[in-house]
Amino acid sequence: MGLLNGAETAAIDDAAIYRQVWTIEVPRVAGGSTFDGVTIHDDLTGQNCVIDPGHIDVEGYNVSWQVPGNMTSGMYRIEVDNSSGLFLPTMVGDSHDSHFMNSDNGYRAHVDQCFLSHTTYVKTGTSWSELGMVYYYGHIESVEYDANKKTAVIEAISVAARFLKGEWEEDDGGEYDTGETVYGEVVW
Amino acid sequence: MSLPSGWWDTSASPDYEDIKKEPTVSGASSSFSLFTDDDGVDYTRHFISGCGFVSAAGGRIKAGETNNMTGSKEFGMMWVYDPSGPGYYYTTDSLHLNSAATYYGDGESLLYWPFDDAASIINIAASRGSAGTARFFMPDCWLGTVAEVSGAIMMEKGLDVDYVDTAAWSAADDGHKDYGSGSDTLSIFYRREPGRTYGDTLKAIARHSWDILFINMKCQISMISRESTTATHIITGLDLDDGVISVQWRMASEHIGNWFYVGYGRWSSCDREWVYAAPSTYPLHLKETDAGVPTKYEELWELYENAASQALHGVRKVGNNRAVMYSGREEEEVTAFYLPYLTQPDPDASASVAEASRDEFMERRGIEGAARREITTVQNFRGLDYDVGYKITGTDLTGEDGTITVTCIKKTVDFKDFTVTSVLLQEFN
Repeated sequence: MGLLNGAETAAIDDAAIYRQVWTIEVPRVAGGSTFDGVTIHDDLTGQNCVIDPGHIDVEGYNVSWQVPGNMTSGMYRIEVDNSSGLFLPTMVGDSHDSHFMNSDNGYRAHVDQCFLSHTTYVKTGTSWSELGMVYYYGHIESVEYDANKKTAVIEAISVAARFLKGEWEEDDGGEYDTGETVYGEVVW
Repeated sequence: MSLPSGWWDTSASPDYEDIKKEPTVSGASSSFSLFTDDDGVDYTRHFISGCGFVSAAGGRIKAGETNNMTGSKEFGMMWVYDPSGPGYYYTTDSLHLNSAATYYGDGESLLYWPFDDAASIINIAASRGSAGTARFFMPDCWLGTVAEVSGAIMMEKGLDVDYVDTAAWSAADDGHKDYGSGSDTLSIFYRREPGRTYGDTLKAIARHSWDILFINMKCQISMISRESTTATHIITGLDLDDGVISVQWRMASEHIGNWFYVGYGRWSSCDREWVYAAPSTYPLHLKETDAGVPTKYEELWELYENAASQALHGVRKVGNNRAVMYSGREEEEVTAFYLPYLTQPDPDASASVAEASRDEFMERRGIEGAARREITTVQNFRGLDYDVGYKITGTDLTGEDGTITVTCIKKTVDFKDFTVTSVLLQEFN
């Protein structure tokens, strides 16, 4: 059972037209759980700042006992044109706001408070079909700027990969941990 | 046979009768009747579990600050509770709970840990002078299939199900259970290891199966079964007309392994309920010479060799490397035999349980010892039709009449030129 449907397969076989959209998800407030998407690039609208759309690597672990393989890191890098300065999160008070600023209330986020999403479509007939099997959503780890080239490289890590970096702690399962909740109440 | 309905979205209530395998509840526990008298004759005793979970503490349980609990940050909480009695009891890091003069008296409780020295096997148990109910609990322990334990860890540690390929996990559980029925299947026991990442934990757990663990193209953690026969994760008929730009292949003999152990001596298994006339001074001290007590480690260590493969390729040992393992907060370098958490799932485990595990290892012995080929193909975005872990039957990329079955083990999706590079593993077993 494949991941592509018939229309997508036909479109790819017949001079496929692709559309890519990148969005930075910015929190409304510090520590907030509500995020708003700031679209930085959409092939359809001509808002094109992504210079290098990058690639993703996927590798399986446990391929064999002798050479188990690696789990890939879930990292994704894109390079963007920053000649407008919009990728400088400290920009404020200008005629145009930073891509890391939420438009609802003007909250200016740090880059590592934000997430990067990437959606890819293929044109099927007159509509766009999302290739959901390669939808990316990851936490922005860093943004590196090049003043001469006026570019920025955004690097993100997928949420799942970020979880895998967590460690067991000595304090896991402390006193009164009944198993019902991590620090539950002892009821007897 | 797959993961229970609601596995990923419910918070199960612990029943304190088992080592937990519910998704959001951790902990090893056992509730049982205490001894009914102390004359050393009519004892009945119940032991914690089939896997001897307390032995995970490695014989180094530390005392809590008071005698109400075992409050060791190193090993987590463990206590015995008697609803009618004085409450908790604790262990010291010596062999006995209290001095010889005080333990085992009426109203006293004993808490032992097993396998603390080379000469004996001691199972944990508690005693009072009257009947009662005791409860043991030790947090962050799980018992179940590879899918159950790894899934439960992710849930308990708070990973949102949006980032988990839950269907794959369920199919993986199916694959494990195909080897047996009910609890008669390959099971593992895992307890947290401070300092170890969740990623390394999931890897170590995955190695008890054939399942491929990875972060998929959609950035979800996935574990795809290579045993499940469900249509999910299988495609058919990949050939040169499927947007293929190039095909290359190589023999991947580095994968061949034909000599390996299963099992690990950090814990052992006491899966029987003994009827044992306790001596007066060490009432719960079971020696390995006693009937029904498995010899300390050896029964769980079994060598699997593939003689045919050895004749062809020489002896290629798997697991003869060194690895850092964790016992509580302590690191120790050990020989890793790759299946450190293998266990038998229940105290009434019969030979059939071992056979279910053995069946799997026997089958895997054949595959691990066989030659392999890696086929690397570059496609246009038709390559998005399958992810890592997918089995592809009827593959016809190498001019061999479409008879090849392969498993995708690696992919690179390039968004600049809209190509997909896939590495497909063919196993000749």
